[in-house]
Amino acid sequence: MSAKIEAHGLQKEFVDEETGRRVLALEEMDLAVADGEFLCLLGPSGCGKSTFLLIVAGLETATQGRVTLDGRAIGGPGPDRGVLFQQLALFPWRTAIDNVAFGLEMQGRPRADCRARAASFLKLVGLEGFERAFPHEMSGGMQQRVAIARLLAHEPEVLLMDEPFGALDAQTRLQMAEELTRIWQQARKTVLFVTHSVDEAIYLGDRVAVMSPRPGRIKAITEIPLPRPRDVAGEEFNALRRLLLRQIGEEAAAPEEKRP
Amino acid sequence: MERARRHRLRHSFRGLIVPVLFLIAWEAGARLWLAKAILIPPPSAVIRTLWALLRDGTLEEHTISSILRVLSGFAISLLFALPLGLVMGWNRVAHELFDTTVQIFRPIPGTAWVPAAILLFGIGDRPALFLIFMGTIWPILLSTIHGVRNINKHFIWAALTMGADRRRLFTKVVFPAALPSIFTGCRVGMGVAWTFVVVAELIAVRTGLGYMIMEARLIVRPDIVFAGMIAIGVVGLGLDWLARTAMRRFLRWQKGLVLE
Repeated sequence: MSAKIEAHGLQKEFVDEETGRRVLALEEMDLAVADGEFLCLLGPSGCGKSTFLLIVAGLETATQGRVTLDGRAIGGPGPDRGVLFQQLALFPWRTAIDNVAFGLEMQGRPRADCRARAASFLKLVGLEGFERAFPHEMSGGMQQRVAIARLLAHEPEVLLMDEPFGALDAQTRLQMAEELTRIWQQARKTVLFVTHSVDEAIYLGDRVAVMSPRPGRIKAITEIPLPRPRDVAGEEFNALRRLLLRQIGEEAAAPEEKRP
Repeated sequence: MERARRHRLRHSFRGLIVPVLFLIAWEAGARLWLAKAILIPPPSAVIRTLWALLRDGTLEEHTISSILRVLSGFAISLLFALPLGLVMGWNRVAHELFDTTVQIFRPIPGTAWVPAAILLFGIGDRPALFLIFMGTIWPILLSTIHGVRNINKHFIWAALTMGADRRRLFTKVVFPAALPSIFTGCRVGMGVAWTFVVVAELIAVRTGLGYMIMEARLIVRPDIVFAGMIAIGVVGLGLDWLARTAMRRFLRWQKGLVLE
């Protein structure tokens, strides 16, 4: 498989406008995500994994280095890369169906077509009958489903997910992970999934890339050869869990840099 | 249910104690010092006058003329403040261009414009409308700017990754996101407009509730003065109710998101 997303020698430095302090979020980061691959980016909070995702999305620019999508440099945000934020960013003034239809409307499709398509994606995430509900009328898990439907509806080639299940309770979280696996197996998109949960990463990913704390770079990449759906209590799962925890643990044990 | 209603009844009953005592004291005071009753009529006389004014149509005439004046002044304000506020909130250059001017004029209280209004426009409806305009433009303008500038960046990001161009980003995301703040500004503006219509009518025109109470003072009809004040209060309450209802109608989606 060819690389869908490729990062080379990526560096990102943030400069605090008031104090002039510089913080290095990413340094010498290399990563390649294959076409159709589900790659989980695992690391402690503040390691720059979200920053990397934003750079791939085109919402942030790298200070140095190069990121390509299908071999072309990324110039800005575009509908070929859908993003699912932890904050979800559902539009509160739009009903569930109109939220899902947003990306389709931007493509200039006829209104009826947008609605029909949006309805089918709501059905896909199990929200049939909630088309006209506003986000604030729904539970966290339901909002999550709407956000996933909205992410998929305009058919981006790449899905970028930034700890999308972080705000959910453990049970809903597992349920959403199951559902995402099911949807991904149907759609076979390239997925970059950022998380700090070891279990989530093993459950979801084809490969898990562990990042070191600030400045972030890829420290280790582990293949997850288990068949889906995966048994979180299985022996192999546990072995992988131990392995990844050790990979992270070595980093956590290292003296942590002073935070700004 | 039943208990809640009893609780509410008791609550509103308690709220009535002080006003009723006040009315009794006023009535008694006015009757005990009869000489003074010429200048401060008892509430019973005020109510009688109010009723008489209603029956011969004087009150309706003045009320309608005041309301029309408020609505036209408010509409002129909105016509200026809304586009200007949206542009100033959205475009940095526009903000830099107009902000200083806004900061210079905004601290001048609307009432300070009274002499200038008469100098500029003489007597009649035009100075009245000008005064309402000068009073109402600031709350609408500032809350519009605030609404646009404080939009959640994740809404913008989400829209950009779904393929929104700059124009649709503005019309489909920024504008609706700013609406709650715009409406709040309009509601405050409506209250200010009602204050200024009365001020304007005390000075510059020959119709309206403000004019009615000012003239009643000249012909020594304190009962009309007080009756007019009651009418002004009631209409002010009505206008606020109107603004609130419009807000609830148009912003159904934010029910439960904000404190009333």
